Amino acid sequence: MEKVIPKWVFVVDLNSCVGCNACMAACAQENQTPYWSNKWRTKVEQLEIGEFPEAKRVFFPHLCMQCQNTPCYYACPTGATYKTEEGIVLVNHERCIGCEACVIACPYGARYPYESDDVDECEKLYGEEARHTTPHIDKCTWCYHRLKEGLEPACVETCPTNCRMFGDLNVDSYVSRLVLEGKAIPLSPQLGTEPKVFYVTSKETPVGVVSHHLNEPPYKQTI
Amino acid sequence: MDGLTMYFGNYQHFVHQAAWGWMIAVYLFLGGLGGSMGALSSYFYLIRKEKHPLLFGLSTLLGIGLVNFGGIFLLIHMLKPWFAFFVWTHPTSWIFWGASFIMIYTIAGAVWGLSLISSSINFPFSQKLKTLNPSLVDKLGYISGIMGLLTAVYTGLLLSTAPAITLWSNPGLPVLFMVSALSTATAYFMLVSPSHIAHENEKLDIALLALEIIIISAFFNYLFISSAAGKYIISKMLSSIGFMGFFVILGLITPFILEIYAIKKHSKSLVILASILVLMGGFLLRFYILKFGYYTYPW
Repeated sequence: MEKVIPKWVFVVDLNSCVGCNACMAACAQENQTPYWSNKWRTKVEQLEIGEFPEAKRVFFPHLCMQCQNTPCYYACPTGATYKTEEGIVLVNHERCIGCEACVIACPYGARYPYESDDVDECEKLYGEEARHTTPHIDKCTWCYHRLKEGLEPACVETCPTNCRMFGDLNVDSYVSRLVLEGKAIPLSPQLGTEPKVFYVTSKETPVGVVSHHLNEPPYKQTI
Repeated sequence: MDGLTMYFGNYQHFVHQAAWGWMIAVYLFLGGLGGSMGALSSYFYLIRKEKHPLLFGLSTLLGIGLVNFGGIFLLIHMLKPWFAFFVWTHPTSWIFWGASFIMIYTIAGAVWGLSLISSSINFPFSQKLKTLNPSLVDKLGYISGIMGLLTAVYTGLLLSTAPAITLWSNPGLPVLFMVSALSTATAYFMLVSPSHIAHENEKLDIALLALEIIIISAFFNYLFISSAAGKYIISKMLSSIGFMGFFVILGLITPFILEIYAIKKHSKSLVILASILVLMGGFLLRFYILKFGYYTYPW
């Protein structure tokens, strides 16, 4: 029987994010990200818009978009950035020299340097369990190690409002229908990066580029 | 939150890139200057037949030294510089090509430069270099010149691979960096060359500075009409004393006027002043291009 490679997608429903930041905590715990240096693989932006009495606070979670056309992959001179057969973009910590060309290339701010001080702190905190043992550029992997075990990413599993959803386009599900029916849309599609994170927009969330594309036909899926 | 602004009812978030700062500006400046010194040395010696082997040999060697010295700044910036040799493993990256241009330029330029100065200066291998086939030496000179020029162009291509940074991600930047790099190299030759070669460089630099002014004006036009991010960047540029005062006026327009005046008056002191301003402008251009590298985030 032919092996079916999953077409994983990530959907964020902006209507249900309450800004609890549980996703950030779960990610930091799962992936040993350097929260002590305020560096995160996933982040929830908090925007305050309008003025009293119309003032609102809205939340915008973002993470690595796992782009199909991957600027960070092309910018990496050492091949430390690579893609799995499922299209997940990973970083080989040993191979990375930390030139930050990928940090510059990423249009979504998904990468940050895991510096020597962070490595020291990681080893101090996690001891023999530490998984960041050399300086490198770090990024969200959609918890690839969990996906391989059939688990969801830590942030998805933790999200109390189901704002974060994960699925496979090969399988008919609420998540795949949101994407294939165009109800969830990618960020900055004009850049041609073909992100695999899709957003269900909300009237409350002032996402300029997203709102430009609300009335466009469903996103063409090439993954 | 830096730079939250609103255009046409939509919010966009402009964030200054913090990854590459002044050290990368030094790398880009010295890469452009050093590469162009080699390119112009080959041009004057091999094409224009200006027979000043000591001047052009030493200039190429100095150019190689500056490019490699600049490379140290990139290495210092890296998290693991001791594994820098890995950059020759992934050809989709401009750093792969830049490192290759620099390596070939260093090897070809060093042999060519040392061959040129071997007739005037004695050093351990000078006798052996004198016996090299002149045709081979010339070929190395052409390779050195082309690789020097490509090194200068590469410095712009390196920045153009950031799709979300409006100021960098456009085809004009490599052209701007190449013209500016050649201009700084002509400024160097204006400082150190005998009068007739300095004079040739003055004329060349006036053309290059005119071209640079046109390209900078075209960039202003592009930023005004391109996007919300472009408008945001141009507002930052126009309100920056460093960019407008020190780069545009002192580092670009003033030397352009001074060099035209110096040609008419045959004034060496004006040429020296103009050269220093061009070199300063060359560095400031790269510094401010990095400084005004704003991401446009869709949130």
